[in-house]
Amino acid sequence: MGPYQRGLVLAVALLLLPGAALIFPASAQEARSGYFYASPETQALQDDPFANPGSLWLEEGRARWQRIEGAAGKSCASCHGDNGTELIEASAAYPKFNKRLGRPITLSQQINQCRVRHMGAAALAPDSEALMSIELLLRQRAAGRPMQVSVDGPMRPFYERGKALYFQRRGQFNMACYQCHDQRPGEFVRGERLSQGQINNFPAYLIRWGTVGSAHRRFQLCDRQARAEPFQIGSPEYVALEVYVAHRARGLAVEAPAVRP
Amino acid sequence: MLNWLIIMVLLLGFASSAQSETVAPYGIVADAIPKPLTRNPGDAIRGRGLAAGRRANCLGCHRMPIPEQPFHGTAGPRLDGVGSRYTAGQLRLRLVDPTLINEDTLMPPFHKVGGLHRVAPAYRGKAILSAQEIEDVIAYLLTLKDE
Amino acid sequence: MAEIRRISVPKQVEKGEIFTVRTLARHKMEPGVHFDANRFVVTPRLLLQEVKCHYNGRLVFYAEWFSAVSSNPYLTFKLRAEESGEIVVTWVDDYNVITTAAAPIDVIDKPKS
Ligand code: HEC
Ligand code: HEC
Ligand code: HEC
Repeated sequence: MGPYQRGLVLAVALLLLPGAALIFPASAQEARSGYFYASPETQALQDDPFANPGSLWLEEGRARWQRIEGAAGKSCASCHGDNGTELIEASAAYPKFNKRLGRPITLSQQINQCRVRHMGAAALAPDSEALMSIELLLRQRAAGRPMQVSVDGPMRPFYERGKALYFQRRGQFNMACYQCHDQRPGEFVRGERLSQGQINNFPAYLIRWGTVGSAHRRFQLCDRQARAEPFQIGSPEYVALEVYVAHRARGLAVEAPAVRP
Repeated sequence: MLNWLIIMVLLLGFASSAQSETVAPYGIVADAIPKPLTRNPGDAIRGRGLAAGRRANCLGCHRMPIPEQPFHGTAGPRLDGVGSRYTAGQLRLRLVDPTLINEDTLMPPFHKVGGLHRVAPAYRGKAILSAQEIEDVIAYLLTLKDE
Repeated sequence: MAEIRRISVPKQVEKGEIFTVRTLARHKMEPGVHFDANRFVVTPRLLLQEVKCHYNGRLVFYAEWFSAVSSNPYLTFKLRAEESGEIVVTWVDDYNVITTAAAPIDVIDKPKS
């Protein structure tokens, strides 16, 4: 099929689905990791296992996995084994509904649940280097697996809430997530090339931060760009937003340790 | 037809709040705000400075003939020649509140304080640009003529 | 845990060959230039100031760093293989705290054919 015929088929397909194409321009678009939109230099840094700065956090994560902490005298490895094999699938499936709490929790929050309830240790501060290093390790073990967040049953209302937040305009600049990440991937906002705003790569090393941070910290950055008051890391609003954005990324391979500008 | 439709929006609703101080009242005729927001005419040189600056951040989304600044955005259209395509009144409405023309626009409302959600405390109750600054930017945009 | 230092050199090189030393240091490289309302520094300056490389005890590379160097600095440089032994890289911070990373290198003397 030549490019001309392919163009025709596409035109017919668009005619058949005018409503869908207009309302959700991104749904016609293949889901792509931010890696695809990153500069060759950033991609090269991510691909180099020695130079990738995220690998420093992995190294810390591996040490922490074995470290005994808390009143129960246990390490993560005591209950989940040296390689945490049975957690691999789950690490691609957060945020996940927590029956005891009656709401979804993030992977960060699950790690702290284990620390507090199973280890008798203190919760780690949101986005602390210690917490990010363990979470990054869990994500790295799941690297290459498809993102697979459930939005069925009790997750549904949280998904809907997150979706509303994704489409809500906020801030003095009156901007919503979809306007940049669904409508304009590939375009530039000043010097930055817009991606689809996927979260298959979080927690991620951001060169601007000089550290590894969560998807919520990235959401804060985008909300601040709109001159909106960001929500807190781990807040019900951002957990719901993460449910929506993670589901939007379903099927994309988990990427860790990822590097972004 | 729409052209003959005259919509008058007098933003008296804000009169009760402290925010009214920062937004000048204006009237919309078709797709324009024909009357200037201030008695002082706009200053194109100040307008160029505002367009290139961080507060209005026009360069965040638009390519403009401001070569000394690197990295012009591409999220919106190129603004070269925009002074030939639009009248002052049309530009005024597009700057004051572009959602009145295109509900789905990404362009920020530069002279608006009501109807916004979760504005960060540092910016709350303040329009991005004052009435005078809007006039300055319009004066600058009008200098961007097609060759 | 913050003090991770990494070095990588080829396992084996020929005498006279130019090879690359790669290093990575986990460090915030805090320039200490953010002030609070009372003009106190929010986070005090803490930089890696110097990087040195010794090849079998001989200084073969030296650099001074400053506040524009990124966090977690990655540094590579090239050396000429002389004899087998050890490559040691040393980082020195503002308080003269010294950290090192070392790697062995095997230099083979292959006669020219
Ligand atoms: C004393 C045993 C114990 C220790 C120690 C422990 N966990 Fe857990 N972990 C559990 C149990 C039991 C569950 C099942 C869910 C629950 O109770 O929270 C679980 C669940 C998990 C899950 C979610 C699995 C899923 O299917 O969704 C993750 C991720 C996890 N743990 C990570 C960790 C990490 C990281 C550490 C170390 C900081 C750790 N755990 C320490 C017992 C433990
Ligand atoms: C004005 C445009 C704009 C808006 C609106 C915006 N972002 Fe972003 N976002 C960016 C830019 C620029 C980046 C950095 C480049 C990139 O990855 O797109 C970014 C990056 C991201 C990333 C990281 C992607 C990666 O691969 O690491 C995520 C996730 C994200 N945004 C989510 C959101 C969410 C959620 C919202 C709504 C709260 C939002 N963004 C609103 C401009 C925007
Ligand atoms: C966050 C991105 C963004 C910023 C910042 C922005 N604009 Fe826009 N602008 C747009 C987009 C997108 C359009 C396209 C029309 C639409 O979507 O409504 C546009 C359209 C325009 C138009 C109409 C152009 C035409 O050819 O139809 C003018 C004039 C304009 N902008 C001027 C400005 C000026 C002046 C500034 C700074 C004071 C500015 N814009 C800041 C995104 C932006």
